[in-house]
Amino acid sequence: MYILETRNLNFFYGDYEALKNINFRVETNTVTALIGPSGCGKSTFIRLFNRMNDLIDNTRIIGEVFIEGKNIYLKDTKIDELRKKVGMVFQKPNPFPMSIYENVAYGLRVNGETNKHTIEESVISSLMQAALWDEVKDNLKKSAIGLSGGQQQRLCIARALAVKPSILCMDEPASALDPISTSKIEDLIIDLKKKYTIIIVTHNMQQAARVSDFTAFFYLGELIEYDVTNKIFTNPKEVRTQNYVTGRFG
Amino acid sequence: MINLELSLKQLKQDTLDMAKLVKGQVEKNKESLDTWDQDIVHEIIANEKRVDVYDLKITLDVENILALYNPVAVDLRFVLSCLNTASNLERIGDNARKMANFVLEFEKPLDATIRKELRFDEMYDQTLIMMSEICSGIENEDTKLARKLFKQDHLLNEIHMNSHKTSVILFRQYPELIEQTLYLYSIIKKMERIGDLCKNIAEELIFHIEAKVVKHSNKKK
Repeated sequence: MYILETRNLNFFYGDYEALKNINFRVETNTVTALIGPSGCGKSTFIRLFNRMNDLIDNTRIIGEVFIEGKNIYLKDTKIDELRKKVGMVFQKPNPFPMSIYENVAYGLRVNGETNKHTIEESVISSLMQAALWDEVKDNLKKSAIGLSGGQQQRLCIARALAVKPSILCMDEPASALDPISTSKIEDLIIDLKKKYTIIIVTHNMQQAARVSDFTAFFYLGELIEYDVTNKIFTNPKEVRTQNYVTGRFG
Repeated sequence: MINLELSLKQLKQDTLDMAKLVKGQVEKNKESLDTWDQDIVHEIIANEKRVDVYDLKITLDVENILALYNPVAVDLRFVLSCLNTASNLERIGDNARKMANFVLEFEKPLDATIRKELRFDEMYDQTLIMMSEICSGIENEDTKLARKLFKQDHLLNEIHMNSHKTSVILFRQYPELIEQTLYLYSIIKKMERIGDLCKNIAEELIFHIEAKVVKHSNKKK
């Protein structure tokens, strides 16, 4: 069984068909990169996995999305539970205007966790997993807004990890960061793969090549090619993929 | 991405120019062995520096392209194949120069009978054809031509393999020409090496165009 699967998936913004008949499967504990030119549907696609697109008016989905074998677009789906299972990290770090500790603890508290000891353990563990613990362990009460961009992004990852997701979706998580912070995020992605399944949207071809096991190329709402990353970047099957990865269009 | 396109175009042009220069070296060498003209040999020696300069330039260009543009897929294969092609061409140039040295070291032209018995001219003509095909293959990105080269290399291998036995016979028949026979035998050995290097370049061409690694493969290419 695949941890994530889409079957004949189509998605519409009003009359505009943003995704066309996408059939896609993700194996557990892998990193999958979604690449393609702006407007090709990558972010729309990734946001379907925790039903974030539900928040946008006049959108429509046809087809099925399965997470751990369950169709998440059935009426009985508990959205809060789904969003715990599928974490999301965005392009721009978006820490809450509260302390570092409270940022990570927030998800747990919202989900009804009241045991201080459990929360503290989870905060420490999440910060460690996000490779941020050593840098913030003496300043947990300080405001998260004072952290650097790279630290803020790792804090957002820690916040997502605190609620113990199975899948971590990242929408251009390093595009606003300097090379050192980018490198830390990439190392983190590779490390997190041991415990989580990661799907990352990126415009950085080298980043996709460095961190992912599989790469999917989207173009004009279609999934053009999906294969092991090595194949996509050395000898893709489709001419359009080759033209994109070599920078000839897009 | 225009810069990458320009850099790749320049790299191809440099590789092609180097191949044509090396082909010229091999042709001149034949001329020097035919005419025993030492001036041609000096020209070959002077030109070898140009071959080395091309090799260095291509290595530097490849380094820059890899560092600046991070090429992938067909572009990466092309860049890698150019690097290996330049290295193979440089070695062909070395062999041409070493063969030409015989004209400087030996006073008399090669004996016609020995040339015929060792199938020297047949082998050299085939080598020149292969060099021309290498140039066309690089210029037109033609893998059919590259594959044709594998078959042609068999002839060079066959002549080389038989040359040992033939040389022994010639030693007995023409003891006064032992030294010449030995010279020619070592030239044949170098031509066989040139054939192998042409084959290596053909393999690089196939790798670039078809993404197939055929080197070190015993299967039918």
